Amino acid sequence: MKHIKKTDSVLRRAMNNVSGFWRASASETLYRHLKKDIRKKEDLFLALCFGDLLGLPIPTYITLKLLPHLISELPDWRRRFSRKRSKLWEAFEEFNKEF
Amino acid sequence: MKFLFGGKGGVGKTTISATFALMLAKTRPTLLVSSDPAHSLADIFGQPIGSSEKKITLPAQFKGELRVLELDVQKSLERYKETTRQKLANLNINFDFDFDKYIDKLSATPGAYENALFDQFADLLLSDRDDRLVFDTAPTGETLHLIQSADLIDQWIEIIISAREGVLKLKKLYNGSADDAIIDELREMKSKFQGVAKMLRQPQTHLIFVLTPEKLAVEETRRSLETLQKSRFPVRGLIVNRILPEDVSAATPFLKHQKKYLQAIRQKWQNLILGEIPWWRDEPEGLSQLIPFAENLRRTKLGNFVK
Repeated sequence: MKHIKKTDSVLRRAMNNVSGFWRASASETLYRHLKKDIRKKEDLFLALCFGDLLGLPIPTYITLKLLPHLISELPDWRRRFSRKRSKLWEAFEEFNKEF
Repeated sequence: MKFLFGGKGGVGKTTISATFALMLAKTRPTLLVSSDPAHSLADIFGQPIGSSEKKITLPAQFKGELRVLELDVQKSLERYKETTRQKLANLNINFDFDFDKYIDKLSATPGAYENALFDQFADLLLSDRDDRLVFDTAPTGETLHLIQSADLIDQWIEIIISAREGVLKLKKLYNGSADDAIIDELREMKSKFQGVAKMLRQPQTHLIFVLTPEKLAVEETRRSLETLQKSRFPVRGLIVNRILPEDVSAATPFLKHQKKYLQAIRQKWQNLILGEIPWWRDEPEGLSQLIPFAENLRRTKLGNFVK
């Protein structure tokens, strides 16, 4: 019984090491993907907040309220957004010449 | 306790709410707020009143005090523009986008004015100050719009909150922190809009309509009551203003009309009527006129609020 217990704990430790290894190597990729996903979601969030520029009937009062928080992100957002040449950006360019 | 006076334009809302506030001030500190963009409290009190609370000097027999305030959205918008501009300047980023123009555009869109007014109105309504609040609101249409715009904006805030929560869920995975100024701002907005809807339905909030015994006023009041009933905002009372005395011989035909509508009002809303205010010979203006007029109010059911 004791013997089995010992083998069990050795096995467990080995497994832990293996999973630790995998976690370390995978986390790098994972984090990179995560960062990309965050940026993607944030871009969409900003597009929603500035929905008035696209003709979405979002109450502009919300935009006004959030603007002071979003101002710092706007320049980067515009750069990223324009680089993508998405349909959304085309619409932006079409409707907002000065943006 | 909070009192909101509404009604058709020209029925005497401002006079009634000013005198009512004056009546309350006899015993308790009272704040009278005008949320009508076309303010006329200054005209009634015969002195300038601004967007900060102004104390009205009352005669000695008044144990409470009266403060008066006219909400000014334009002014707060100017302040907002200044702080936002400052924030942008502090960031020191090179971004060729005309924010002033953008902010101007945003604040000129339909609804923005109402929302900003609602915001100030909500701050006052939800503040836990213990004096009595009396609101002189804009004519019916705008007041109803003000109340209903809260529901509309609420739905949008919901959508944006869920979008932001999507971002934050990932961010939490990434760096473990869930603090976010944007979601805080959004949640604060949401709780404010919901708080007002809740406050308006509470028994210590009195939504009171002023009307005159005339066809147009009666019809508009009927429609407003229906609309508010539909959105489950209870109207707690009516004040029938400007009832002609029996002895005006020159105005006999008009008197007949008034009587007809007065009968109709009494029949239809018997339980709601809080006061029937007779025609006041002089224009109630300035404290010397308002104080005796307030006695008028105190003799009706409205007097129960000072006990």
